[in-house]
Amino acid sequence: MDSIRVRNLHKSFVYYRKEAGLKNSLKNLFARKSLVKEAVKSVSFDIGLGECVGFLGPNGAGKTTTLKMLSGILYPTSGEADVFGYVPWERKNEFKRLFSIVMGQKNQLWWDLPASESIYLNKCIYDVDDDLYRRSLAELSEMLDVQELLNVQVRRLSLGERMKMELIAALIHRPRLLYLDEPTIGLDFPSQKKVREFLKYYNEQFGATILLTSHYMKDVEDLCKRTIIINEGSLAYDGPFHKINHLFGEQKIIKLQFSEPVAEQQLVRFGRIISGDDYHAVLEVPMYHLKEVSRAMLDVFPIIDWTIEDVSIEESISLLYRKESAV
Amino acid sequence: MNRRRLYKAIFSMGIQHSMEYRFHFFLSLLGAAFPILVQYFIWTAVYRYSGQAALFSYSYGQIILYTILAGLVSKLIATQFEQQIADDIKNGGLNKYLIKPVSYFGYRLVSFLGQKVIYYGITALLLIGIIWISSARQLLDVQAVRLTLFAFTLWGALLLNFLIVYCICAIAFYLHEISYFFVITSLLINILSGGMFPLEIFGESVVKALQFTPFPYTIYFPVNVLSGKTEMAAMYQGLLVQGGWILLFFWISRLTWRASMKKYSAVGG
Amino acid sequence: MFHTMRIARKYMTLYGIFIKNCLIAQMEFRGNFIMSLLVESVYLLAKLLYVLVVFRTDLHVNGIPPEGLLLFIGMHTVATGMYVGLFFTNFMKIPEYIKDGSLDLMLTKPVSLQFMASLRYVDLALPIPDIVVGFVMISIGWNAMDIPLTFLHFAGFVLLLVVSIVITYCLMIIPALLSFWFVQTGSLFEMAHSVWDANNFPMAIYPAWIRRIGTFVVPLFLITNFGPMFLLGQLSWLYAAMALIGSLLLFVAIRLLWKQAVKGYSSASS
Repeated sequence: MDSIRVRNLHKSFVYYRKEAGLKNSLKNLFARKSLVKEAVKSVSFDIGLGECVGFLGPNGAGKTTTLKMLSGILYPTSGEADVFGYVPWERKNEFKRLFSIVMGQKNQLWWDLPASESIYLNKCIYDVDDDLYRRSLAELSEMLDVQELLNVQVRRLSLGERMKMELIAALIHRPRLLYLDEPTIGLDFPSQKKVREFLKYYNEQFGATILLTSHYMKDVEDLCKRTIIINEGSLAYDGPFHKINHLFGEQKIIKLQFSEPVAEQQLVRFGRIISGDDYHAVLEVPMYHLKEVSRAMLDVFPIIDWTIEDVSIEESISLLYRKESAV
Repeated sequence: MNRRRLYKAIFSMGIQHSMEYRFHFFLSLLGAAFPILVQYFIWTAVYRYSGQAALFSYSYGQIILYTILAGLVSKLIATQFEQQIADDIKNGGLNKYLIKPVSYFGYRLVSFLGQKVIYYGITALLLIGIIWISSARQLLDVQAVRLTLFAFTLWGALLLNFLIVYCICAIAFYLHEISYFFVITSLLINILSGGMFPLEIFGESVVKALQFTPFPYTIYFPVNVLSGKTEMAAMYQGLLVQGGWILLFFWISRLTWRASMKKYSAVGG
Repeated sequence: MFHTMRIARKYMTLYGIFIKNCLIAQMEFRGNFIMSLLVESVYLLAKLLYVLVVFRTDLHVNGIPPEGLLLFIGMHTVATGMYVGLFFTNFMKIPEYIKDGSLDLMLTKPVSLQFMASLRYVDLALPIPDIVVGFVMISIGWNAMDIPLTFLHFAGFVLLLVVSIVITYCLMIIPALLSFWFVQTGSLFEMAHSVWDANNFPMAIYPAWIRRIGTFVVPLFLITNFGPMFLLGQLSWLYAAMALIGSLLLFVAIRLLWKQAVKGYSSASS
C-alpha cells in the first residue's frame, strides 16, 4: 500500500531582479523584470507505507520545495499528490494531525522556556489525550536520553540536545508520516549518530513513513534503503541506495599542486582528471586505490601541496548522469 | 595620514548613509505630521472654547507655529546612533578605534553631521515654506536678525543634542540591557526640551527651573528665536548660554568617556 | 453546536497556555520586565501632558468639562494598554515570520494560522501602567459626570470596550498584513502608531469630514469615542449595536484579507 503518491508535481515561481541605484529602483517601480524559476519540474514517485526514503540533491535542487508541497505549505503550480488519502495543500486538520515536519534550520521550541512547555503546547494543539501524552513523552525522552533536560530552558541546551527536543515536540502526537529537512545539519558526529539511531527506531517501532532530505550522505546511507536524487528540479535517480553508494563513498578527490609543470598525459594513468593546468590538477581516484596512487604520485611528481576530499553531491550527480548515458 | 581627508571621508559616508535612508526620513516626516495635526485640532478647540487671545502667553497663531516648528526641529536633531554605540561597546567594536588614528568621538560627530546635512537642507526648505506662509498670514514678523540667529542656533542645537546623547551613551559601559533606557531618555529629553508642548504649560516656575538645564536650548529656544517670542536681549544671552552648555557637555563627554574607556580597556573589552 | 463548543474550548485552553508561557518567559528576565514597565510609564507620562493642558485651560468640548474629557483620554489609555499587551508584539513579529520562514511550520499545525501568528505573545508588563491609570481616569470621569453605576451602563460600556479591542486588532494588524507583499514595513508601523494617537481626544475636536472618515471608512474613532459617549448619554443602544455589528464585519473582512495573503504566500514563495 502506498502512503504517498506524487504525479507530475511542478512548482515554478516568479521573482524579480533588483538592480541597484535610484534610477533603477524608480524604473522597477513601474516595470519590474520578472523571471520565472522552475523549482520542481514534473516529479513523480510513490512511497510505500512504513518506507524510509532519502531525498538527495545539491542545495537549491528542489528537495525542500517538494517537501513543502507534500506538507501543504506550498501550492504546486501543477500536478497531483495524494498523501494518506489527502491532498496536502487543502490543509485539512485531519491531514495535519497525521504528519510532522522537522526542519534542521528552523526551531519551533521557544528559546526562553523549558522544552517541556513547548512540547505541552503541541500536545494541546494536536489534541493528544493525557494518557498517550504521558506515555509518549516518557518513551521519547528515554530513547533520546534527555529526561533530565526537559525542564531546562532551551537556550541553555547544546545544539544536539535542542534537536532532540525538536524531535520530541514533533513526535508527541505520534505522526504516521515524518518529513525531515536536514535534521542533522550543524550537529557534531555523536549527536548525528544518536539522531539517526532514534529515527531508525521510530521508523521500525511505529511503522512510520519517513521522508528525509539531507546533503549528508551518511544520513541517507544509515536510514534509507531507497534514495531519490533530485537535481535542478528533476528526478535524477530513484532506487536502492546500495546501487549508487559507490558514486558517493567509493571515490575520492585528490587536489595537487606542483612546483614544476606536469603534463596531463602523465597523470592519466592515476585516475580521472577533473580539471588542471601545468601547476595544478584535480583527480578522481577510486577509494581502494587511494593509498597506492597517492604513494606513487608523491614519488613521481614534484608535489608541493595536496589534499584528499570526499566527492561532493554535485559531483556525484554529474557522475550519475555520465554513468547513465554510458549505459 | 591626513586627518582632514579622513574626516572628510567619514563625513561623506554619513551623507551617503542619509541618502540611503531618505525614503525612511520622508516617511518619518509624514509620521511627524500626524501628531502635529492632532495638536493643531486640540489647540484650535482650546482657543475657541476659552475665547482668550493668549494662553500660556502664546497667541493662537504662535502656538500653532510653535507646534509645527518644534515637530520639525525634534526630527532634525534626533539621533539614531545610540544603539550603534551601545553595540560597539558590547561587541568590542570600539577596539577598532583605539588603534585607528581617529577618535571615536570624532568619528561619531563627523558622521552624525554628515548624516544631518541633507536633512538640514530639507528642513530648511520646509521652514522657508512655513515662514513664507505664516508671514503672509501675518503670524510671523520676519526679521533678518532672527532668521540668521535661528540658522545659527539650530546648528548649536544639533551639536548640543549630539553631546547630551553621546554622554548618555557612556552608560552602556555599565548597564547591560540598554535599549529600553535609550527609549526612556530620548522621550524625556524631548518633553523637557519643549518638543511636544511649549514649556509654559508646566507653569512659570518649571520654565524658570528648566532654564538652568541644557534641554530648552535644543528645541524650545531655537523655535522661540524664530517665532519672535524671545526678546532681543534674551536672544543673544540665550545664544551665549547655549554655547556655554555645548562647551560644558563637550568637557563632560570627554570626562565620562575617558573614565569609562579606562574601565573598558581594563577588562579587555 | 457541540463541535463548536469543543473548538472554542480548545482555543481558550491554547490561549491560556500562551499567557502562561509568556508569564514564565517574562519572569525569566525580571530586569526587562521592570524596564518595560518604565518605558510604558514614560510614554504614559507624555500622554498625561495632554491632561495637563486640558485642566490648565479648563477645556470644554461640546459642553463636556475637563473631568468628562478624562473618560475619553482614559479610554484611549486603556485601549493603548490592550494594544501593547495583546497585539503589539505579535504584529511586529509577523513580518519576521514571513522573512525567516517560521510561518511554514505554523502552517502545518492543526490550528488556525491567524490565531497562532497574531495572538501567540502576550506582554504582561507593558499594559500595566496604561490599564491602571486609564481605568483610574475613567472612574474619575464617571464619578465627576454623575453617571449612575447601573448594570445597564456597565454592560454597555463593557460591550463597547470589546468592540474597541476587536477594531484595534483589525486596524493595527494592517501593516503586518501588508508585509506579505512588501519587504520594508517598519515605516508603516510607525505611521500606524502616530495615527493611533489621534484618539487621545474626543473626536468632536475634529472637523466633520475627518469625523466621518474616522467613523465609517477607517473606524479608528470607534475605539475610544463610543464607550464614553454611551456613558454620557450621547449614544443610543442602536448605535452601540451597530458598532458591534460593524466591528464583526470588519473582522470578517480582515480574516478574508489574511486568507488572501496566505494564499499568495503559498503560491508565490519557494
